[in-house]
Amino acid sequence: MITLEHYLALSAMIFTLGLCGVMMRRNVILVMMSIEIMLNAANLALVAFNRHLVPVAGAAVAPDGQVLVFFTIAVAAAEVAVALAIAMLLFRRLDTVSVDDVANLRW
Amino acid sequence: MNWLILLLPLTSAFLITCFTQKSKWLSATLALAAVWGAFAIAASHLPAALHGEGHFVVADSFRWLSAGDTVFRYGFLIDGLSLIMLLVVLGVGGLIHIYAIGYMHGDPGFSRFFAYLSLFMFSMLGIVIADNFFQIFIHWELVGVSSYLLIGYYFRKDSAAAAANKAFLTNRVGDFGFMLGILMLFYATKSWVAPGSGAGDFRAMAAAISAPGWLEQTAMSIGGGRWIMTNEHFLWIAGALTFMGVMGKSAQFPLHVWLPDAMEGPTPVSALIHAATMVAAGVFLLARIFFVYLPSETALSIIAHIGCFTAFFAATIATTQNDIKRILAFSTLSQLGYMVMAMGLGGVDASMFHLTTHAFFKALLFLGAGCVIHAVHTNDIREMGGLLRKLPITGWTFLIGTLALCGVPPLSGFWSKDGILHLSQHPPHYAHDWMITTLPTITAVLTSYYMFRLVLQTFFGKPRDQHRYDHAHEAPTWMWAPMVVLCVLAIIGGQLIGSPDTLEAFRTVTRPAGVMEFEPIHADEQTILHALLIFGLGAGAAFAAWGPRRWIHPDRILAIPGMRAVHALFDNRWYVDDFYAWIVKYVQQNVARACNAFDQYVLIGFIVNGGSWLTRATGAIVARYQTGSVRAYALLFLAGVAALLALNL
Repeated sequence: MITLEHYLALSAMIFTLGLCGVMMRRNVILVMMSIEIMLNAANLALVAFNRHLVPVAGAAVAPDGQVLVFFTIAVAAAEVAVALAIAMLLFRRLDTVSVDDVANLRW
Repeated sequence: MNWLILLLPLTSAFLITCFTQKSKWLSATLALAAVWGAFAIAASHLPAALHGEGHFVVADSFRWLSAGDTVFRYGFLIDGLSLIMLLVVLGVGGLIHIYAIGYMHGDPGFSRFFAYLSLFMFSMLGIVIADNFFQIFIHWELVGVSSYLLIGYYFRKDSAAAAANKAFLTNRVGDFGFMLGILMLFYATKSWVAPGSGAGDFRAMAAAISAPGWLEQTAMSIGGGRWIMTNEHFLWIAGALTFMGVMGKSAQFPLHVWLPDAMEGPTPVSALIHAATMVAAGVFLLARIFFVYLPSETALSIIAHIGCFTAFFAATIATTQNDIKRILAFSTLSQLGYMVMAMGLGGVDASMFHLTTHAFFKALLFLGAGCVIHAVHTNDIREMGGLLRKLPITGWTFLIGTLALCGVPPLSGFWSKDGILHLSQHPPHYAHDWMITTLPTITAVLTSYYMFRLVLQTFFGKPRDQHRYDHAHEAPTWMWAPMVVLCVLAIIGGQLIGSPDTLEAFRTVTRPAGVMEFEPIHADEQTILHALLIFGLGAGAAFAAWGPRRWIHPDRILAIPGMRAVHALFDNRWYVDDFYAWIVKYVQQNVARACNAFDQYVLIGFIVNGGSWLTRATGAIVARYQTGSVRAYALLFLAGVAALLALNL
């Protein structure tokens, strides 16, 4: 029997994986991929919560969690579009994809 | 039609300022036409008023503003009281306008002067015909502004600019109290006056106060009825505050200091504003709102004593001054004191009667002083002498004005001033003390003394400055013609309006029941002897000290031990000005310094600069965490979220 706890444990693992990727990786593409992984971990948790916590009344299940996931996916897609454009311009201008090489936006 | 009384001078001021500055002739014509046009309208009411037996009234008003239930109206109320005041202001004012054409001839600001005069007429007429407190306050302040402009007419002269400021600031003190009083009365009218009538309407308020049992009703209750103020107490506080406005405008002690300095203005201004009309506005206001004071004997007693003291105080100072206009200014103060005192003693008619006759002879005296100054180019009476031969018309009219002021029968001053002296010798019980019964008579003696000291030094004796004497010449027709008219009024004005029937016609519709009836002076032997005795004492003393023979030389009087101190007291105006200067220099300046220190060190130093320092210091610390490294941000972000979760869970 797969319970809510199993889903949440998996979600937490995936999230930690993404977080570590963001903090450790230097390649900007990989950092973005890690962010996507974190977003999907959150999506998984949302879907699981919806399935297990919302009471089933007849056949109709309130799909709030699922709908929210679609929003997340849409926003993530938009974010990736912007971020990839930034990454591409970064490479064209500075000839690098390492986030440590563009640390000149500071006080 | 009646609105034109206000509109004509206003239009004239506007036209002169905007269009006719270049043409002196046109400016003067406009101003004169406005004054005499308004005078004709006012005079057209005279027959109706004389047959109205005190019930004559013409009124109209329109709604100007409304805030919630409170309606502010602007209108005119022409009854006997405002009609006599209108005729005085416009009649004397019109004559002085004519005089000013001659006096200001050749002055580069000629048009500006007439614009100011018209503005003053508009402001003053607004006070006279106002039918509510709201309107009277607006015009009260407008009069203050016109007075400021006219005192400071020679604005390049430092002393004139300073005098204008002094007049304005001193009036501010009085007007502050006046405004508080008006606000109290406004507050009260809500419960007194039927809805629909304007806030502070004189007639509605007078009617409410006269209602039986009204005085015992509650005006204010604070703390759930633990502290209750009856209408009677409410009224006397409001009345005392309102009286502060009177003290400022009518220059009563201790707010009198501005009037002598106001003589820096051109002489026609001194005659019109600072002798005949504007300074009488306070007395007029007392008559108009006498219903506020009548219920409270305490308030009336205060008014009577302040007026009485001012009369005496100013007369003593006038005995030592040497500037011809200043002597007349202190004399004006003294006479205003008489009027205010008469109001306090319940003699509304007596006071208004004296106001009218005083306007005639004091305007005449000032215009005469203007002619003298015009002729010898100095204000100092010690440099004059023997001018009667050089200035016969001025001299003789001045002499008649002086006799009228001293109350010599049968001139106008006798009828009005002896009415007030009579009142003071038989005062109502609340003011029956030595001050009220003796000081006015002593003041009358002093009046004769200082006026004859002035006349003897100016017009008689040997010329003390031969050069000035040789160049003196009689004033042009523009100047002496109005003086002759005023002189006639100063002679016959007493009998003209002093009869019981006429005074009855000139009473106000806002007059509450219970005001003392004016007892006209019966010119029997005793009264005439009494008046002549007072006059003889003062004039005789002046003749002995300042006459051609100088029987008792003033230096010999000064030699008496103690007299020098008394002379210094009078000469320094009882040190009131010095006292105020001391207050400003030490008290006010130290308070200001303390406030400044609080501002500099606490407000600016601590709160304003401290706040900005805190922000900058925090910024300097936080800025170190902005490394530019994305990975470091992610770590910090994680730490922040973790910390938040830890705190919440």
